[in-house]
Amino acid sequence: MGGSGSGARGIHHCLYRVFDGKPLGRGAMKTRIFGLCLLAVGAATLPTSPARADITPKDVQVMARALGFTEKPPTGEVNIGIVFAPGNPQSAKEADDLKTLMGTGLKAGNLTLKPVLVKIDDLGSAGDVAAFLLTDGVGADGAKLAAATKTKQKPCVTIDMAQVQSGACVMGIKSEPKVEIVVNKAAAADSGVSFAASFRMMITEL
Amino acid sequence: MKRNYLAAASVAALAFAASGARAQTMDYGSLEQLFGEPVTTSAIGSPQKATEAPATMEIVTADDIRRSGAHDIPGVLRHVAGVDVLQWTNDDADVSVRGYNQAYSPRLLVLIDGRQVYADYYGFTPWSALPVELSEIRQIEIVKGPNSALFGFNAVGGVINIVTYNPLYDDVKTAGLSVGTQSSAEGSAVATAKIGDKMGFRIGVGGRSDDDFSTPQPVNDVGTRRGDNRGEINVDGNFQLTDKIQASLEATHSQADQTEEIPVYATYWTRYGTYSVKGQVVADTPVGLIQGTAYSNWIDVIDFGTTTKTPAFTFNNQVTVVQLQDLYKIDENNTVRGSLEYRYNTVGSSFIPGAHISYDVVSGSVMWDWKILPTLTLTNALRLDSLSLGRDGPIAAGSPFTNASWDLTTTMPSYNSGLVWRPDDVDTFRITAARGVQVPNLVEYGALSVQVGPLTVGGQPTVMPTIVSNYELGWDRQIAAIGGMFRLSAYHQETDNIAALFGTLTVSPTGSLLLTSANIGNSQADGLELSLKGKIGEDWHWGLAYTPEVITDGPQAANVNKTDAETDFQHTTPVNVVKANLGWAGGKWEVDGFAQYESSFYGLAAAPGAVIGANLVPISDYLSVDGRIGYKLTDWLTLGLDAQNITQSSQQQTAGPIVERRVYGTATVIF
Repeated sequence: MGGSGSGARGIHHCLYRVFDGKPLGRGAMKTRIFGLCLLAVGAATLPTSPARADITPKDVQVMARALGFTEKPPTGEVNIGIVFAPGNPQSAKEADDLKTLMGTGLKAGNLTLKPVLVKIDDLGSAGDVAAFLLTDGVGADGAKLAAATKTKQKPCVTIDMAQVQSGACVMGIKSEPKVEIVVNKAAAADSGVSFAASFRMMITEL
Repeated sequence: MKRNYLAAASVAALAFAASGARAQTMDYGSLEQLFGEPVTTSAIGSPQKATEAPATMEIVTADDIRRSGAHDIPGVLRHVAGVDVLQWTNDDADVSVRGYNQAYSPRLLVLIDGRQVYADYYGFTPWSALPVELSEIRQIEIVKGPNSALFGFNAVGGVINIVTYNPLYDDVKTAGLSVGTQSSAEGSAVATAKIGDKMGFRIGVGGRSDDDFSTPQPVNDVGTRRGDNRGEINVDGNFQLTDKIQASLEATHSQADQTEEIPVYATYWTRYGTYSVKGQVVADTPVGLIQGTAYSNWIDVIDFGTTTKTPAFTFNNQVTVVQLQDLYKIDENNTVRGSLEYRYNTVGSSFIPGAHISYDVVSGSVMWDWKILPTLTLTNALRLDSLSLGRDGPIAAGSPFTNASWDLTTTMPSYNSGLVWRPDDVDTFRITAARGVQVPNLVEYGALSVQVGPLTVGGQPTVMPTIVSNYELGWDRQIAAIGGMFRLSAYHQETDNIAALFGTLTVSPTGSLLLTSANIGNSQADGLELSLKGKIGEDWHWGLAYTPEVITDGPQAANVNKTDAETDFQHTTPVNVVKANLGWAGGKWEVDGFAQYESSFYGLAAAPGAVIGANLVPISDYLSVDGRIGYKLTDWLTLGLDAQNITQSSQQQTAGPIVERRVYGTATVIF
């Protein structure tokens, strides 16, 4: 039997034969293994992407694509409400950037998203929107958004995970270095939003 | 300003981002676009990002396939780290994962959209007979190591799941023609069509004709090069019955003639005919994603001898599989999957006709995916297969068995366990353990039955399943600086109860000889996988992989021939394999190159004049280079020049006939 007791022997054989079955002197073997280790460590210590705070075009892509996995996705030409806090420069700037980014209408397959800026205090009069896109830095005012999404039965997406944790927003996304999506199930239920089963298997649900 | 341009470009990409959204089946394309990486169900049966699977796996995308310049699936797979390809003839190749490759390689489970497509009577894959065109493949998923707990038999060396475009989500209309060396000519066409939003259809057709290599053959093999041909058609219909329920129907047919290497290491000219029908229903219910699948495969095989056009033996194999599974996400930390499966597998006997060997298998499996911490996930899967063997019909005169000898039931457990730790956004560590079951094939169970004077040759009912256990440590690191990933994986694999078709020779009290299948020994493998891949700017991509593996065969006391083809893995697996690729795309041009180095090893060749048994033949280390140049002449027409073994007009890669350089000119139209 090739049981686990033979593991050490296997490693010995591996070290012996890994370089074509030719026995190596200790120095040569060490040199080659050291070389492999250098490769591994060298690769592993290359710098990774830096931290990021601002919303990016990739974030917007992920948000739009994720909306497509709701069970009753918006279709045709719809408004998306970009919610911002006028008193917060970061939030206001993100809102402006997003509006510029989306122009007069963002066409995505059979869906065209038209950006509409919505002040956090004006959510009640936001009109008909398919979803809310929450800018960063809204802070405690997120509770107002939660109330609005519940009333209007529309989802909210954001990169501000704290708003998802608190239940103010349905879905939070992170696009770098890997795409991560977090959905607050209670907030989703309150907003009348549910997602395709295969999508739910691949995200974090709170 | 620069950022705004980038933003505008990114937003433009959204035009392709909308998804069907009512998906119950996997919308691979939309999920891949969303998560920025391929997604898979091949590791645990639940949709996952490839980088989070508790298994070492590779995903070859449609782009990879197109840019590989390959004209068949083994040609695509030979560029993948940890995959071994033995190119025997122009159309015949055997594929294995992590060594143990051989003629009629039996350790690999090959699926097309979840339907097994290997030839179940012998457990191998006749790649030319697969009813699929390269241009209709969305991705090929390669799981390395045993995965029997999810997929059942044959998934001991690895799993190759070929995922095609789904006509409900994907729009594909393409046709291709190519001509090349060895008098090669081939054509292919794939089209999808939707009727409203709720019905989608896909049809794929293809054909190929070529000559085998003209390099010298062993004397006994002369006459087996009678031309290679392949044709196939597959039709797939997908239907959105309600918002929560989808159904699909699929039918396929293929026929392939090829000169091929058979397990006694001689070449035969073989004709394959395959048919299949499959139906599937998927429902998103309050108690989970429930999927019911049923399919039947038929394969008719005629092996022509080495010097005559009279069929040497024939096998008619039918497999019917019925599966029911429920995938349920209990809460944010727990997902479970339960599955029941019934399988019926039967084949007619040869050379002595009129008998049937069959088995029924009832299987149950459970999988539990437990997110212990946000950074730590434990996945466990357990499966039990209960196999009931049977036989009817005449028995060779010299056989000591009666049909009642086959009335046996065997229960076999298998498991997969994987701990995945993702301490940060870039690192993934895996610890996995698995036990896979390779059930003896129907030939080893007795479908081959020969009586020559006092000698009786054939399988027998008491041969035991081969068990493959695998223990592995893995580390993946995403490296933004190179736009790619580093992988280090180390594994120890043990194979017990290796089954060999001609494993034991006994003498009966009456003096007759009995040469039968038997379990003849054990083997173990220790290996590493080191790989690095990345991009340079937007135009260049590259990859480098080094996969050393040492196989140590244990004692094989019962083996009648130490160099029996099915038992000598230690010498027939190259220890050092290096694969590299470099690709560039700019404007209308695409250029890709692939290099593979294998250190010296031994091949097996039939012993001259012997009925069975093979000799070890040294194969020198070799470097082979493949490549493709593509030029997009118009928006709808691309011309290509594909080549394998570019640097050598001929090269010995196996103990079979020397392989030749192959060059193709191609024209691909996208409608």
